[in-house]
Amino acid sequence: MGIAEKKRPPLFIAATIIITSVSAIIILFPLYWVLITSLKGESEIFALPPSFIPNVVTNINYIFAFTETKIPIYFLNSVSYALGTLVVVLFCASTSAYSMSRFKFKGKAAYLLTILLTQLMPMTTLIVPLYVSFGTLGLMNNRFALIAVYAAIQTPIATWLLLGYFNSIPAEIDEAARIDGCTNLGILWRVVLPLSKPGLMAVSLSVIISVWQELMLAMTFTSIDELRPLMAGVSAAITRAGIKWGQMNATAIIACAPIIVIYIFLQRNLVEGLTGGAVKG
Amino acid sequence: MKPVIKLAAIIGTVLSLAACAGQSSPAAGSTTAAAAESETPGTGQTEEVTLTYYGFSEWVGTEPFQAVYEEAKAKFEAENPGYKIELQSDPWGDWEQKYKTMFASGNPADIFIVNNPDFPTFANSGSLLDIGSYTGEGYFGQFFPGVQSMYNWQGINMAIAFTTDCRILWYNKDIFTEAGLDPNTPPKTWGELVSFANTITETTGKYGFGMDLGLKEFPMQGAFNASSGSIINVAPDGSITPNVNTPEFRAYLQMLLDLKPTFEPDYATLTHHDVATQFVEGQMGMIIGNTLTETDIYSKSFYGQALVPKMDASAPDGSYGGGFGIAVSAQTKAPEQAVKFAQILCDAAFNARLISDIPASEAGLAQCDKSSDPNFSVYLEQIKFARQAQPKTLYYADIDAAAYDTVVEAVVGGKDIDAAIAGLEAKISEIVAQ
Amino acid sequence: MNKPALRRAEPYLYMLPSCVLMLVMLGYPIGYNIVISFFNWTLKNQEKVFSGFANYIDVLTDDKFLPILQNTLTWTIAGVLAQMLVGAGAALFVDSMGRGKKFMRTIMLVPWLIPGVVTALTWKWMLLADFGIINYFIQLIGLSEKNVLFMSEPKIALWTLIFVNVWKAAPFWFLMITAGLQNKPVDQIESAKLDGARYPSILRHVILPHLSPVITSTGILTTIWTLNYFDLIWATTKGGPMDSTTTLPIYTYRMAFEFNNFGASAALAVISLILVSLVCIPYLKKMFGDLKSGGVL
Repeated sequence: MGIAEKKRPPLFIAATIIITSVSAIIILFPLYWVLITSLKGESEIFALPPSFIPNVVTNINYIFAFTETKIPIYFLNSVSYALGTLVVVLFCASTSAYSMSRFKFKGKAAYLLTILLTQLMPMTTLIVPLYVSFGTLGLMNNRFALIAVYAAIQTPIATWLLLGYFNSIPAEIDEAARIDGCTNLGILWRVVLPLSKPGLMAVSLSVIISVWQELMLAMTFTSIDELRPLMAGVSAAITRAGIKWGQMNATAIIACAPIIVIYIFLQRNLVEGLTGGAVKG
Repeated sequence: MKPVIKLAAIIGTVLSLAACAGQSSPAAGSTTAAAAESETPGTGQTEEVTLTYYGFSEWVGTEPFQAVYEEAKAKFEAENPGYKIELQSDPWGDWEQKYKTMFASGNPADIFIVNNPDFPTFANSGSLLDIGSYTGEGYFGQFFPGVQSMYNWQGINMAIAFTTDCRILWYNKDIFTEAGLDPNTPPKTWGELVSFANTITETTGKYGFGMDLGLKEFPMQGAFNASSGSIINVAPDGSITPNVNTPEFRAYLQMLLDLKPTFEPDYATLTHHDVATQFVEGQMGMIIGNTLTETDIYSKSFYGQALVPKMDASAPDGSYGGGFGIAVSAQTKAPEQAVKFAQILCDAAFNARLISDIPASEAGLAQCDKSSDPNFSVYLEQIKFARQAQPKTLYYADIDAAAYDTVVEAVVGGKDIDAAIAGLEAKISEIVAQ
Repeated sequence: MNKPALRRAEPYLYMLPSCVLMLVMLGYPIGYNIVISFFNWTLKNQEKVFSGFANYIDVLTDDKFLPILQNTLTWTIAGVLAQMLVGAGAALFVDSMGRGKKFMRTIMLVPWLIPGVVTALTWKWMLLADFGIINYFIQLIGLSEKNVLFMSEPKIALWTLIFVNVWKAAPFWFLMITAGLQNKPVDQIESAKLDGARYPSILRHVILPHLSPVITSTGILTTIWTLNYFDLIWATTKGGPMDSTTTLPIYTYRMAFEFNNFGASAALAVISLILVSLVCIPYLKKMFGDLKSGGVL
């Protein structure tokens, strides 16, 4: 189903191969460089000319990451933030998207516009006001408060994506279920959500990735190690004496690894999931 | 049209909510927070008050310092029954934004490390406790007067000098030898600095001088302060006038321009950490830096140290002096106890072991393993001459930023020195006119 | 379910959780920001005093504002266009590939998985003038004899950062366009081919119209994200050298946490809010048009 599937001249094939490999290198090289740097000692990191394969492979940066920062606790925290946010986002976004997709009522356009507007402010400007209200309400260093902020930030986009997906599910299917005695809530739970699985997968992956990578809000609203996410390990490598490159890259690899694994498992669903949402919406 | 009206209504509601909360927040917020924390309903007998201490993780949350913090905390809690200390910290990269956020939102920590450039801002806003009224003014006599004076606001001591910090000249003896310079004769004046740096770059191809403009601070303040210059004048009545159209500032700018060919090409975005790293790795002839204790310089054999080169032979010695203080929030629910904890931290028995820098008192220094270490002798000599390029005023941060912008315009942007100086004069006048 | 009042309330009940969540966690801080932008509020003087439009006048008349606005527009417009061309181009190209399609799809999204701070610091590291691997390559293949000052030369720095941001953000375009291509009108394409149409004409008359809703919604999201993107610039140049990479969000942050002026910072945030809204109006019109014609609204 391509440009010229019948007869591809050798020149075309050669060009394809070259373009593909060059872009693959540009895309993957930084990740490779992070990995390689994490395995080098301090003096080799600064060596000129740079070495593409470490002369001496060292695990010193990883030892640091596991001994000097509380990586196992950070990891569990990141998991709890990602999953907690995911549950809240899926609940809020699917109920509101369902409502807009299946009911006639006024203010839909205004709502969609308003939630889009919430994305327009630079995130940094939310820090002080949120700190005011968190401090007053005693929500500092509170896992659930942080999850609520993340969920609020992620819900608008998730709503947009799910709305498109739900719209692509024909209303006749609802009617069949209604005749079988389903309530509206039952239709959402038994019909719409199961049919939207790929869409939900895509939203989930995007929420998990965003929460996993977030640093600024997490550092602002937690000041004890017991509540910090994995990215705090990366932050800890930025010290008063400058950036500890080896440690930073090692913690970055540790922080990225779970996401890359999840991605490899879920990536097929991702494209499928967005197909329904993005195209119709 | 209708959605638009609806939207307006929603925004209106949110705004009015925000307005109500905004008006009542500072005062009401702090009292409820205080009440909530100090009261344990029902028990009524042993009410524990928890005071929070806030600093950056390199000290508060990292060994060997963390254990000493726990020791200080245990001592305080034994001496002050019913009061507890909670230690909180953030990594260096997040710390400064966080403590400003704490104050801005009216939820400050009770006791905290204050960075000296921020001190006037906090002091002026009434955020800090008058510590002297609890300790007696005599208490401050034990600290180096020049350092303690940085924490004195309109005659009131609002923080205790905790650490001190200055810049010295570091040079690479191997590179000096390679360039045909005498490795035991470091530059003593700005003129020598310029000529040595250029000799190094011309003969060895290495970077003669390590310059950094990556952090938005008055660049190379250590060298500027080795002159009689000051970038502002403060009259006895408190009025501020720019003082940059002076031989000192002019010579300082000219020195930077003359040094420019010897800089590392990325100097406009390098930080002093990057420059220190490159010096340690043997890439640079000279830098003006602090103790470099967080690098592995002391394992190298090539380094030499000297006092910062002066404007000319007759100029006074000088260097940039900074450091941290310990301050107590004016909002704390137990000021007396909070001051006691601050005193424990600044006590000679603890001070040196809580920090990787140099303590700010003679007694603290005596406890410090650096006091007899030959690696620190130049540093300890230089500290006596440490000062800042402008007296501490309310406009410290803004004037510092304006000076930075001016130097960058001249050195990176190639702006004419006279125009740069005139521009800075105008900017400073504008800042202080507010 | 049988009571008419409940029935009428039902759709709103479904909306309630997300409304409450967003009102508390986003509406409040955004509203607070807007209110505070009319107050004189600094760390020096924490008494908040109503000052009308003084903050706005101050920031708008500052000499720095115009260059920063210009940087912001360059950063956003050039950035989004480049992301679109690269991401959409790659999606169309990969879609037409035979073998290797799956592999390319997998690796195209890798930049998206790497946290922003790590991306920023790694690229900064690779782009250093002296230690940087990229300058090493450039000299190895003889493109330039001197070190290129990617981050330190005021005329180049912004474009360097735009490039890095394209590397980071183009995968999102790739993903969205790839998804859009999954249900492209195959029959129409085939019949156009039978009529002898060439690829450019099929692209223009069949594929692009089909993709237009995706392009609109991706465009709006990436415009917002790019304009407000803070981490990359802050972790690499902090807005320097000579403010050449200072965009509105960077200036807003510095105003609050470096110059301690929270009122002026809030005013800057509101100005960028207005700016993005203006930039987004054409997209929004198109998007709501699509939604209406799709029967959603």
